[in-house]
Amino acid sequence: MKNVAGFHSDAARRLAGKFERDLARSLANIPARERDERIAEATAHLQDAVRDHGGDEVSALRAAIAAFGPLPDAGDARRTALVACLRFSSVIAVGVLSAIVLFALPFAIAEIANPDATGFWIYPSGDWSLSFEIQEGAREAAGGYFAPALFAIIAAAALSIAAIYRAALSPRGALSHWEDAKPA
Amino acid sequence: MADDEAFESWCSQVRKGLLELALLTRLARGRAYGYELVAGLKRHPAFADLVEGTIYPVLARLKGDGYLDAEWVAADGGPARKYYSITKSGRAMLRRMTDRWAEIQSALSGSGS
Repeated sequence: MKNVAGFHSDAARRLAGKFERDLARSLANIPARERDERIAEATAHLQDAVRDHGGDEVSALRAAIAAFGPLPDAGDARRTALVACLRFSSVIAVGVLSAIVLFALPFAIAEIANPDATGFWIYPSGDWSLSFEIQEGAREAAGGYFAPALFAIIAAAALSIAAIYRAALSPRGALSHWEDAKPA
Repeated sequence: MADDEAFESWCSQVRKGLLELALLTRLARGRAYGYELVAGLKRHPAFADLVEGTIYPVLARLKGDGYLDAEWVAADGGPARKYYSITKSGRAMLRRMTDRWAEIQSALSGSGS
């Protein structure tokens, strides 16, 4: 609001003040000194335009602001960085979930083919392992729940991969739409 | 209608591409402030539809690249104005741009082939 003193009416000062605030927001990503100069320069531009336009000050100022054009979107840089961060996290998540699927799937299939040997084995020492072979001295803890549990894990991981792809990685996903959206 | 839109889109691209050349050309004749530059450009039909605020980022970029200098000058009965003037490297860049523009015009007129 420090550059609006050149306007005469309160209404014009309020309008110019709002323009300054909007411009300051849109230039939020540049250094403060440069931003202050750009605001002062734009306000001086509006004052010259109002003087040249003549007539009612507020109408002239509205016309000058319209002719100045749309202000740059400050959210663009932040949005781009956030989208890149979300995409990177999504790729990592898909990688981890795929590893879980690739790890669990052979055990689930083996459990169907060879249920006696495949399982979650716990040793008397408390150590444990997932194995395709009978472990001497160890007991199989999961029993009949082993295959359903693995298939449930695989299904959950696969659904999560599909959801992440659809939301964050697909060109037609929600993240892409948000990335392309411009504030009104 | 679609032709009009396509033509306007092309005009906008040309205007955008020529804005730096137009600003350097004007400033080579003497210093000027933003509104003065806009008003001068808008007198020409090619720039009549210029969105006024678009010149400030261009001026800032030209200044950042060392092609322009700028100084604030207080005015009697008006706001302080930021006057831009062309630097030595700005003049050199203008010469290069003007030469290239002449080549383009020559190519378009067929005299270069």
